[in-house]
Amino acid sequence: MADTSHLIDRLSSEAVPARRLPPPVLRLLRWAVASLALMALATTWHGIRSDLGAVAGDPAWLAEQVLALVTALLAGFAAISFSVPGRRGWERLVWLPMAAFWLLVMWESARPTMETQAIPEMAHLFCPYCFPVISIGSALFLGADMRRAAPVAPVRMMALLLIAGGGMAMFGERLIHDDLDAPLLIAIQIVAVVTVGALLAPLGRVLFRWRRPKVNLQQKAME
Amino acid sequence: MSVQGVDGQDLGLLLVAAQDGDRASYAAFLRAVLPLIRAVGRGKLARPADLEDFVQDTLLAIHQSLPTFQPGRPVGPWLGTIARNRLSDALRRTYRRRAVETEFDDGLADTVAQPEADTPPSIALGPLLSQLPERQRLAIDMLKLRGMSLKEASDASGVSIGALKVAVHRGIAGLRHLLRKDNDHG
Repeated sequence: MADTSHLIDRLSSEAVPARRLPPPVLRLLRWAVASLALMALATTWHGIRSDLGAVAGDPAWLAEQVLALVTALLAGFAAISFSVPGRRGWERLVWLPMAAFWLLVMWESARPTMETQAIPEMAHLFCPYCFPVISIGSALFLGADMRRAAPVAPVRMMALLLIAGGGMAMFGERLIHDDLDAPLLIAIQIVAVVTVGALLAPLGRVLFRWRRPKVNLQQKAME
Repeated sequence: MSVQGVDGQDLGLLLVAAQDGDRASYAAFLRAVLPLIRAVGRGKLARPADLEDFVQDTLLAIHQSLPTFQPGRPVGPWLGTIARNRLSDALRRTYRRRAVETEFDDGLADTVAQPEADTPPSIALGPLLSQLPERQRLAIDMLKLRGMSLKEASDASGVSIGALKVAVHRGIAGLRHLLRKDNDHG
């Protein structure tokens, strides 16, 4: 008890004005802008797809892009919500129906021509340059923002961070490449991104940890 | 939510003031939420020391999470999420420790018939004790000679229970060594 009282005295004596984190929606917008800037950077290096003007008028292509972007944004929002204690439950799950809907749409679009399509090889599943640059860069932006918050659910934060980055990269690489539009390919990409997110989720325990600030229990016990 | 006359709204105001760097409000907030934190851990953590570790761990987590609180939002869910997160880690640590440790029951010896004790040889411990380091001598004096409990000795000396156990262990080993040396020299 004496130790706890002492700890409270120490913590309160070291209190300085805290840099309040902006609301999750604002943090999400900041992340989206940073990710879009990264995509713009990738397009300056790789160039925009030559038929962008034509496909932009195709409602099916537009819908697929909107689904990709909205899923990535909702996964990012869920990741940010997990890093703020006490947020509502629906904010953390809202990405799931959207991802399932996106996968369903892609699957249904691919079904009629399924028999004529070959399963793409792993090497042709993603652009080996654009996808890593956009997904890792965008995940790093989000991770840096989330590390300033509270690591109350590190594993789920990591999974959603990777899914958000992957979704953003899927959206971005379709602005750059014209050979990644096949619905079956997109469906496989969605499953791959979610699977990688789930597999690497335990790394969240390393990336998002409770820090021991200036006061720690051992130091306190020695006094 | 009401804690010792402080309701949720007051807690929110204290927390916002703490975010602005008001030390008195921060101390008041931390003291006001102590019973809430203890309530989360009580019943799940059997040993008082584990409960206290959990409480302190939660206070440190609150300190780190301070920038995440949004003024105007309820304090209860914010605090509850942090406390439950720290509790799950505390429970994980406890289970891990239980797997490799056996609790020593001090009362166990009282339930077993003890053999007639031989009259111990009278040994003047004073000169031997004086050869031990200060910390070990103090620990043996309080725990073995004066019969204080670990908790009492810890409170009286300001030394943690773990450190006292180590000091007694080393002190007894030191005394044994000194006694052997004493016997060898006649």
